[in-house]
Formats: sequence, structure tokens, C-alpha cells
Amino acid sequence: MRSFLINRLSQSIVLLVMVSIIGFVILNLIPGGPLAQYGLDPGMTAADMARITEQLGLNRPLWIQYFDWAWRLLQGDWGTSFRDGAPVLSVIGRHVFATLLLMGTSTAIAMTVGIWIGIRGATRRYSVFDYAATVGAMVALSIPTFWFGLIGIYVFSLQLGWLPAGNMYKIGDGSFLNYLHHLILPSAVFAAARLAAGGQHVQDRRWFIPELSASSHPAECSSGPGPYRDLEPLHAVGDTGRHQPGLRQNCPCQRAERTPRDPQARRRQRTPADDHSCWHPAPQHSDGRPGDRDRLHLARHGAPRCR
Amino acid sequence: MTNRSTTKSTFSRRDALRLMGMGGVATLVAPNLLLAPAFGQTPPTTPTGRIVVGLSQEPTVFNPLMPHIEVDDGVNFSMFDALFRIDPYGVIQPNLAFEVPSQENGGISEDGLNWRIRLRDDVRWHDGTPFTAEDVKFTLELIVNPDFRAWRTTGHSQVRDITVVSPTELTWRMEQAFAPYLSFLTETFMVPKHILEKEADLNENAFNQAPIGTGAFKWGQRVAGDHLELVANTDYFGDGPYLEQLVFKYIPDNTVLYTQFKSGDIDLVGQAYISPDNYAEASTLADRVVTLVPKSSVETFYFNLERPQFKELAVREALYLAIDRQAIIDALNYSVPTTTETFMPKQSFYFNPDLPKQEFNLERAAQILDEAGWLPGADGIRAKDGVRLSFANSTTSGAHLREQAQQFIQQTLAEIGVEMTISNLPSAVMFGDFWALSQFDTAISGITYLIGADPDVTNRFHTKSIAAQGGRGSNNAQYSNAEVDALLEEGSRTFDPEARREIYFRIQEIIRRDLPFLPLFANTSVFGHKGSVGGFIPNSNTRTESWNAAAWYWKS
Repeated sequence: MRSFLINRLSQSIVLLVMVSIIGFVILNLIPGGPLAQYGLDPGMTAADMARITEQLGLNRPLWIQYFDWAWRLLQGDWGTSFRDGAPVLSVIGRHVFATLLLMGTSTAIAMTVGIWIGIRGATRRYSVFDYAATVGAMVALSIPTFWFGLIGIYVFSLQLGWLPAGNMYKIGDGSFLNYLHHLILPSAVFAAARLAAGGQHVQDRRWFIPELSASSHPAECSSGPGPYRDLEPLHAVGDTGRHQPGLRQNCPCQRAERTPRDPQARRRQRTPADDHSCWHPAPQHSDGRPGDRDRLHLARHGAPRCR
Repeated sequence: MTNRSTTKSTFSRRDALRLMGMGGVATLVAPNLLLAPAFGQTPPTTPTGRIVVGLSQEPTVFNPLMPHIEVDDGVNFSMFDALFRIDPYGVIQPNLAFEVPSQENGGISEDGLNWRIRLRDDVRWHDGTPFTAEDVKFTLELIVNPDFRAWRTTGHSQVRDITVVSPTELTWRMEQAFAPYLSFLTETFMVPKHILEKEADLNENAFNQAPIGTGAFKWGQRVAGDHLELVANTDYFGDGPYLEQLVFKYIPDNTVLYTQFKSGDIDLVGQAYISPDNYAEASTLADRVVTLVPKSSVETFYFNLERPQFKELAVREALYLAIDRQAIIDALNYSVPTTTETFMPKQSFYFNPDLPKQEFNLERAAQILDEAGWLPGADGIRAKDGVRLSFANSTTSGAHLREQAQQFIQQTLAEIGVEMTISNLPSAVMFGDFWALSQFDTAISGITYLIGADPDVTNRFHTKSIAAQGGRGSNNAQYSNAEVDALLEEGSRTFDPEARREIYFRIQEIIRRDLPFLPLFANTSVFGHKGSVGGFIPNSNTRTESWNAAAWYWKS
């Protein structure tokens, strides 16, 4: 464990140094530099610009500038912002609270809603809700966050007038409720974006859930809609013809044996009972882990496929 | 006009308004100025309320002598004072100084070399310390201190022998007569000696993060990345302030800036203002005053005159005739800007309104090129003596309106056998050496030709200002005309505004004739504020809408 940590840590340091060099070089390869903002200032002559370049040390060789910066950084001096005139560390520090607040809130929302959608989608697979969640996630994933934000501002601030169009709080009113009011729109937008990305992840793992459900709801196995309908029957797993009939001997749904070889014809024939008949977790361990036979199923055919 | 003014009484406010009216910008100052008294609105007796100004860039430089941009100036004007201020009519008025020195009142010697400044005796810094001539001396010396990272040094570098005669009087000598210096001093804010002289580091110190000035507002608090709060200085020597708080709110996106103006989150739209595409809608908003305010910058099609294609005047004349400026203004810029024939801002006292008007006439353009011997070659592009009339045009990439104008110009030029290719660059690249050392063929940009409000354009048109030929200035067109050089030198030595006006009228005539650049239009900002905000007057002679926040108030 320790060697793993040391290994990882040293890799990170090398990576940090490389990233800092690349960042530094790229920034300096761009012509113009920090003084470009004064390029059109009629009162700043070429001589003024040269003077400030000299004062800021921007005319030194690039590698000297880099080592100067890196050495000061190691000593805790992050330098002074070209634009802000304040120490860089304090510039970053002043933005940390707002960043954490927004990220924390949106992550909390995304996780809460995401897990709920994931579970609900898994337990009610192919329901309207499930399709809506999947389509919603795809749409949300395809739309850039900034666009989401603009739409949100347009609808909730401009059209409905419910939420503020920006800012962290109303200047002059620093109350908790006021912060909260301003937090709703941006955190909802970020949460939606994270939800879309994370939602896929939750959905991908949904096949775990029926397995857990199986141990607690075995009675639902053979009748009516229930958790098992989410699962591809093992017959289908064997579509390629590598199907091993012997493995299904203990399966309560012997009807499946009569399924035609042609998968399409088989699907046409499939009854609801088929759909939740075969991947039956019996016999099981008492703690709900899949029984040996199931492990065999998994080993031979892989995990049940999500459709 | 009193004898304190540098301007003769022949130039009246009515004169200024007439000039502005001719430019179609009569809405500039007139409504606020003329209507406010009619409504019987007066400022409150004690500072009341808060005005929030929305800005698309964040003010971050609070030492007014260090390099800074327009939004920083909005804060500077509220926190600090300069010796003089320039009013919306371009007239220099006293501020910390008791009077504006002139050759008439003896403040400036006949040869223009010796200056005497008399100061007010009732000014205090925000910490209560009296403001004196020592502070002025300290400020002017700090600017040229080689260890100090100063903003503009032009003019200041010619000041010698600053002598404090008394706490309210000082004198200095200029290395050479330099009339624009008076105008530069309207943008030179005074800083407190008693605080800065104790700082070990002139460039990075506590003052820069919470400055002390003499202005109508004192430092409140700054929430970096969000807003800056200034509070009323109740001991202010001038009129005002009438607000308890003045807040500069940073809203990085122009669309959101406008949205917050609509929603009422901000009371006044500052720098970047309302984008032209929103002008029509903004004008219809209830309880909002939206006005078109001319800017000092001129949207310019710049030639690099050292390129063989552009050496001949006939070519430049033909290209000017081939640009449909009205279509660019109306179709691409929502009719917000106005046409102009000169580099001089329309609101300037020195604006020459009698220059020949450009017309859009492709036949005439083709005829001029034919007569000058630029004839279409096999590929349809005109050429003369082996030089094809083909060139690249550059502007900042991502500036959509400029890019559209560029494509439009490209199409019309093609109709007269002129090939213009488009080669756009990010602004940091464009305004580096590419711009400064004239590496472009042609370029489109919004150019401010004047420094401050002074008509001196030596930096843009004098031969000695061609950086690409070893000069020190920003004559990026590489324009060189001996007569203009002589006039510019005379203009910078002349203090009498009437005499100067003649000189700069003549310069504008010559430049209109020589066409070192093609003016596309005079840039215009769309200002907006709530209807209940009183005392707001735009001033195109400054770089900021917040030049006079001391006068702002809420109408009761």
C-alpha cells in the first residue's frame, strides 16, 4: 500500500511539473501577452509598453521566468496577478467559497436525484418514467451547460420572474434565504448537467439491483410484472447458439425449452412469463449472494444484458 | 465661461449642442440636462440609497496611476480627483485646482514652459489629512519614477523642477511647450503622499487594495469577482455625493448584463453598455432611460501605406467609394452608429463638420482605377506595373459584427476587380507586433485617436510616430505628410483653443484628402439607466459613464 502511494505521489509530481511547463510555454507562445489589453490604449506609447515589460521582467528568457516562478511557488509565493494586482493566492482564495458552495450544492442535488432516478428506473424498467429519464439524460448530456443556463435565465428570470438572473446575493441583503434564492438556478443547472453524465453511470449499474431484489422478492419471479422483467432471459444470452440446455434444468420455466432457435421468432413467441422466468437465483446462499448455479450462468454467458 | 476657463467664450454650450445635433446625437446630454430642472427634481440633502452600476469587466486596479482599463477609471473618478476635470462639452474645468491655468490668467507663461497651479484649500483625504501641493508634487514625481509601474507617461516626462510655493500653490517647468498636458492632467488622479511615501514597495502594497483618495466616495469593501462597494464621503469638497453607496457590479457576460438591467438588478448599465442588437428592445422598456452616446473611437479600415498597392491615392479613393457604409451601419449595426469623415470625435470642440461626404459609387470607383491605370488582368483582378490589387484584411476573430462587415466589404470590392482576403487573428496576437509594427496589409478596428480629450494626434499621424520605422508612437498606417507633421507640432505648442481649432480643422482636411485610413463609422454606445436615477450625464470626453457619480441621486 505504501509503495503504491509513493508511486502514485511521485507520478503526480512529475505530472504537475510537466503540466506547469506546458502551461507556461503555451501561454508564452501566444504573441501579445499580459500587456495586450493596453495595445489599443492611445496614451500608452511603444516606449511605455517596453518600460512596463522590463519592470515586470517579461523580457527575460522564458526558462529563467519559469524557474523564477516555480522557485517562488515552492516557497509559497504564488506571485501577483497581472490584472488584479493582488497576490494570486488571495485571488484564488476569494473565489473558493462561491465555487465550493455551488459545486457542493449541485453535487448534492445531482446525487440525490440521480440515485432516485436510477433506482426507480431500475425497478420500473421500460416504464414511461424509465424512458423519460433515459431520453432526458441523453438530451441533457447533449446540451452545453451554458445553454442550459441561458434557457434557465430566460424562462425563470425573464419570463416568469421567479428567480434572479445572476449574482450570489442581492447587494444590501445578505440573508440566508437570499443566498438560497440565488443558489437555486445555478445549482439546478449544474446539477442537471452532472445528472446527465452521472445518470448514465447509475443506469449502467442497474443490473445489480434486480439481483439484490431477487433475494428479497423471490415470489415475484413467476407471476406478473416485477423486478425480473428487467432481465434478458438467459435464452437470449445464448442467442449465438452456445446455449447449454443442461444449465436450465432447475429453472422453473421449462417452457423456455420450446423456444425456437430463430431469435426473432422466439421474441415473437415470448410471453411475459418468459421474460422473468429464467435467470432465477436458486439455489441461493442464505445471505442473498447468488447461488453456485447462478455463478455458473454468469461464468458461461456473462452478465445479463441490459436492453 | 469665466477667465478660469481655457476656452474663449465664443464656444458656448449651445455651440456644443449644435455640433452634436449635427451628428444626429442630440439625445446625448440634452434630455437630462434640460428636462431635469423642468421636473423640479432635486437631489436629497443627505446621501440616500444605493446605485448599482453593472460592468462587463471587473475593476481591479485601484491605484489610479498604474496601468488600467476603462472600468477602473469609473472607480477612479469616484474615489479620486484630478487637478482639472473635462465637462461633457470638452471644456476643462477646475477640480482640485482653484483655476485652470492659461496664458491669459498667467498660469502658463507666454512661451508655454512655466506652469503655476493654485489649489483649493478645503480638500481633505478620506482619512482627514489635508490635501496640499506636496501631494501634487509627489504624484507627478511618482509617475516618472523608474521603479514605479506607471500607466501613461507622455507629458509627465517633460515636467521639470516641481516647486512647492505654499500648501496651495506649486510651479513647474516643461522641457518644451506641450498644450495637451492640460488635458492629460484631467486623467491624472492625485494620490496621498503621506500614505504612499511610507510604502517600501511602490507597485504592490496595501494602498492598491483599499485606496484613500479625495473623491466623493470612500472605499467600502470589495468582494473580488463580484462587486465593489464605495460609501459616501460626507466631507467631500464639491457638490454631492447624494448616494450612501455606489456599487460596481461585475457581470462578465453582455447578455446577462442586459438581462439584469431589464430585471432591475442593476440600476445603470456601465462599460460594454447595451449591445446594438438589444437597442430597439431596450428603448421600449418601461421606467428605463436608454440613450445613444457617441464614443471617442472610430471604426476604421486601416491601410498599411508602405504596401505597394496603397501608395497611390487613387486606389484609396476608389476603395472608399466602393464601401457601402450605410448598409454596414443599418443592416449590420442596427443603425446605432453614425457616419463620420474624420478621426476626431463628434463631441469634440475640434470636430470639423465640413469635410467632404463619402458616397457609395462602384462605377465611379471603377472609373478612378481605370484612369489611374489599374486594369483588370486575366483573372479579373486589377493590376498595375506588376502589382495586383489584392490584399489581406485582418480584424480580431470572434468580433462578429466586424467579421460580417469584412465579408460585406470583400463582396463589394470584388465587383470592381479588387481582391480582399480575410485573415483574422485573436486580439492578443492582433494587437501585438502585428499591429504595433505594421505587419498587416489592411485592418479593421475601433480606434481611439485622441489621448484623453485633447485633439493632438501626433501619436497617430506624425512621421516620428511610425514604430515600424523606429518611431515611438502608434502611427500604424505609416502615414507621412510633412505639412501634417508641421501642423501637429504647431498644435501641440499652441494653448489658445480657437487657434488650435484652426490647426486641427486643417489637419482633418488633409487627412480626409489623403485617406491614410477609411472611417467606417463613429462608434456609439447604448447607455441605459432606471428612470428614477437623477443627475446622470454622459461625458464622451472621458472613458467612463461613472465620471460624475457624485451628482447621481434617486428621484424621490
